[in-house]
Amino acid sequence: MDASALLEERPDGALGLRGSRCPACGHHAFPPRAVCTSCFTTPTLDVVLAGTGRVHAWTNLETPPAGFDQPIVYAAVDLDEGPRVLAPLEATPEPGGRVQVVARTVRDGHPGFGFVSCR
Amino acid sequence: MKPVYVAGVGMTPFGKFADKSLADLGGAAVLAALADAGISPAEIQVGYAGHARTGRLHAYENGVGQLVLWQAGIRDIPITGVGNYCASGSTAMREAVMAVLTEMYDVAIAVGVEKLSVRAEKGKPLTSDGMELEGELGFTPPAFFALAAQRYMERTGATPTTFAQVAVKNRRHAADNPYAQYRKPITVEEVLASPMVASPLTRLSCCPTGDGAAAAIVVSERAAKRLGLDRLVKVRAISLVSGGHRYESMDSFEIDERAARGAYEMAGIDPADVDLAEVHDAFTSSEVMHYEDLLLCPRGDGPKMIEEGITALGGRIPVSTSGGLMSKGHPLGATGLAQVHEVVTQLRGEAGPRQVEGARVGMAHCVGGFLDGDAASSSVQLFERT
Repeated sequence: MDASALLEERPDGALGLRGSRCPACGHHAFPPRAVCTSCFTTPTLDVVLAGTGRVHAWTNLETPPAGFDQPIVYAAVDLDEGPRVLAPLEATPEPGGRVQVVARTVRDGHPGFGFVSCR
Repeated sequence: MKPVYVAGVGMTPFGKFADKSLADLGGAAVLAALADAGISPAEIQVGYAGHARTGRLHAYENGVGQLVLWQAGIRDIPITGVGNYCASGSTAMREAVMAVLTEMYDVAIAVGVEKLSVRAEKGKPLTSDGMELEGELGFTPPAFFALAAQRYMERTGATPTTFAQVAVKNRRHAADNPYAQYRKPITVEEVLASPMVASPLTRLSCCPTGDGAAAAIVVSERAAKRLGLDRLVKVRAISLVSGGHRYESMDSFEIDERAARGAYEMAGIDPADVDLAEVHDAFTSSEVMHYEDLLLCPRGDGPKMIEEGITALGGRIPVSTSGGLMSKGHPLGATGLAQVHEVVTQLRGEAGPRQVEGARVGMAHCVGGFLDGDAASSSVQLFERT
């Protein structure tokens, strides 16, 4: 799976994440889902999520899976629109710190994404 | 639930066995269960086989049940493979119990088998089925449970030392279990000093991978009488639930609480009546969290359960008397049935130096897989002495 295919530029030029929004209940999903994961309405609308959120939990993944040369900081990020994403962080976050998505290499040097601290 | 009994259990030692095939391992467990029950292979009317990683590792996505049971002379009957991640063995057990409950069959066998030692990625954590995007981004099971452990430490004040005591306790229990993969005692210091996997989980805070098999024979009351079976243990609950898409605090596992409540309700048994539990201690932190999820203690009391020795042998509710996944080992599909093996052995009073005195009710709890930020399946089974 090409994780970088989920990255998309927003109208303001910032990098966002491809997701979906339910036309009935407004629930967001990431990655995009054709059926709303909350109220099961289909079809949903394709949207570009802001790619910003807050670190819910993180760990120093010092024994990463095969395909990663170096330890990574690994986190559960709650996006501002609601979905939770498990992904690498560029550095140890501030407690409750805000983060935004960035392009980075992931397993086996593939293009993918992670998060960096932001204001 | 109509009366259904476990009439026999068998297992192989867990470990790394380069010279043993899936058929060797599974066949040995089945033969041991038949011998334990004292019945012939011809008495088995239906079979279920739990296995999780045999497709990727052995080109046996299907057919493990036929392969294994054939080794033990069990042929010509309906045999079905059961895949449910790490809970595959527990789910095979559930299918066997349900087959007897339908009254279509009155003697069933469940077997679980796995051979992980052929994996190419030595020293690296196992991946999990279906986690394609997550795997690309660094997901491993220890990483996920480390995130949960971080939240749990914030909520309860548990520390890495709290969790390390689980590894020490389960290793101490394993010392008296001839089937356990690791039996040499370890200390808190050794657990904390072993290489970090995902903070706060060190290598000795994570269960090992390995090979092994376990089996259980399930019978109706009528079959027990017909075959003159004694040493029966009663099946009281076979709860199984699925998860997915629950973005919660991660400081507890809601799916396991749902599975446990289902089991208590099915059995009409109160959590306070559980005398021993085999829980899914894939990680030290998970065992502590499961004390709460399985309602074995009030919310927030998980750390106290391990720190005060309540879950050690001799305590109020010994947990993982077999050594658990941590020390007995975790050959995925075999685990659920190895838990049944331990609980049945305890309830018959045959556990030797690790016997829980007066044990009447035992629990087996097994969790499997991941789906959208949650575990994918959770099984809780309850058994009672007859």
